[in-house]
Amino acid sequence: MGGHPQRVTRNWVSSPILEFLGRKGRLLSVFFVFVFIWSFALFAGVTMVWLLAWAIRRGEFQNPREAAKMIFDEEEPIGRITDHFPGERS
Amino acid sequence: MIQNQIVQNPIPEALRPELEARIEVDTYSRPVIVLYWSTSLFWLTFATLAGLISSIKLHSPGFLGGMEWITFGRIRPVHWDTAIYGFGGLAASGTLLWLQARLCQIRLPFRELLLVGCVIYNLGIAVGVVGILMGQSTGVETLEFPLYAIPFLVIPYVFIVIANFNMYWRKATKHTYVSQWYLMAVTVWFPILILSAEACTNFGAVDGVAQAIANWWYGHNVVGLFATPTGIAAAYYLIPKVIGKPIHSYHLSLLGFWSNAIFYNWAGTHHLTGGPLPAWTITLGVVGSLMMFIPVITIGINHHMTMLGSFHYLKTSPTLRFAVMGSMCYTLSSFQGSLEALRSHQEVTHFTHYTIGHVHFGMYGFFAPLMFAMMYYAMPRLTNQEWSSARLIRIHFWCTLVGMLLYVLAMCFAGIRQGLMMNDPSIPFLNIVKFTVPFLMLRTLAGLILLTGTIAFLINFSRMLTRHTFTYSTPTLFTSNRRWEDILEKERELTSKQILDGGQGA
Repeated sequence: MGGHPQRVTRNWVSSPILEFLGRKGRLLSVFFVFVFIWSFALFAGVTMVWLLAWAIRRGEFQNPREAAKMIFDEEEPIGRITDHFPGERS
Repeated sequence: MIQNQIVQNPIPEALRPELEARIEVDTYSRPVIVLYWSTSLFWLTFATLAGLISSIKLHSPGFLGGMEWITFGRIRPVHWDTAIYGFGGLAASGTLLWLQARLCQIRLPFRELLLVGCVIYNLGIAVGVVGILMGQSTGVETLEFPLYAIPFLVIPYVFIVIANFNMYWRKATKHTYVSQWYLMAVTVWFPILILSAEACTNFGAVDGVAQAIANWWYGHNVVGLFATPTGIAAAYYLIPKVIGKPIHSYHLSLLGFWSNAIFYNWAGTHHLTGGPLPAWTITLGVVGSLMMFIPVITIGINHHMTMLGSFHYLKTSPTLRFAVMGSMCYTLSSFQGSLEALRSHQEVTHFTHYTIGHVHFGMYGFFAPLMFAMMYYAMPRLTNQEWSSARLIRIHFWCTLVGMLLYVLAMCFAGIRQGLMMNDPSIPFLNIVKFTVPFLMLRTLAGLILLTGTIAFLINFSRMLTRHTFTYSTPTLFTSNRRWEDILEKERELTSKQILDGGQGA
């Protein structure tokens, strides 16, 4: 039995991109993955490490108990309930 | 229903500087957060309706059968993508921005840019939905939106990342709260996830099995490294804040964060158990999934121990109800997910309705309730208004809980039986399909219950936006209002005493 092999089609926007990538071959794909993604990941990673170092220098981790209490203040102190059903405040 | 009326709510002088700073943070971020959350609720309703249609089609295939644009293969990805990117993306972004501004105690930066970003993002979701309905889905699970919709989603996220880092950099507080760890991490993890996954799948940077690995690495992590950290950040803020009690162990919370960051990323390949992958890649996914017991247990212990002795407040606080429901479901659904990764478990439950039950347990049991909790807590403070109806809040809560439980139990039970029957070659496949039909009907019923809850919430939310409720002259702070009244009363008593004493009082 003959016949044409069925053509695999993707949506009309991704097709040109895929064809372009296909024409340029594996080199472009590898370039995209290793240069673009890895450089972005490296940037993000370095940023996080830098932020961590910055936070340590600022003494953010010196007193974790104080950090746990930072969401409370004089107006909404520890021990005060801050949410009720409307109209049902006791 | 509470009728529209303005209640004067003066702030005592003694509390002005501290309160005014917080009110300014909330007031300035109001348009952005309200836009993100209100559009997220629109997409939640849309996603629920799309899910309902696809659910009905599973037990009544002829339902709306004449319309090719809502065949199951199109409406089902529309349901999932609008749930995860429409509702999830917008609700999480609103939560991230409000929480970070509050915890940093500074005004939201780039407000206009974020507003424009929200409009672009919504446009992107709409374009993506139309694309899928027109048959232009990429066919890649969780990345079905056609590629022309992606820039609309990526660009606004860049604005959010910049705003988030900017707030943290300029923060007015000395410490970093545990929620901020999660919020900072989300903004780093998610762009890497989506760009890598799009490159490896839809842009065709890799082929074959590697594409499937990239697909499920993303499909799993979009829940675990995007929705989950935002949900946990909300829980770590709301539970202690509402009951007025610091988190049980700050050290445990950091252990939970770092173990989640290290282990979650490896778990995705368990979705491909039984597939044509090297065995070690699956084993890696299984090990990563089991290691997730560490963050789940630490977070579970921390939330439970914080709540210990305060469970009676569940009767009186809508925020706490949703937050505790979300936290408990996080623990339970994560345990279920870790065990589900085991090969022996997958022999029965893989390719069954059990997996669908688990996904909904996570999304509608854990993530969505925590986003609702955040909205219930923040909206009155952002809009200076009370919620209009306690009854509607209760309807929303019970519909969410009952609908979610019915859905998860029906799907998980049906899935286990379905898997056992499929493993028995003597049972004709059609008999297995017929067996699942009543459970699929239960699923539709559960979807209807969830939709009812969503509509109740929408009514309450829209009444707040249209000011059909109490409007305070300053942001409503619930019991704090009472406290102000008490302080004002004491001030009046003191003044009267001073007058009676002939002005010689303190």
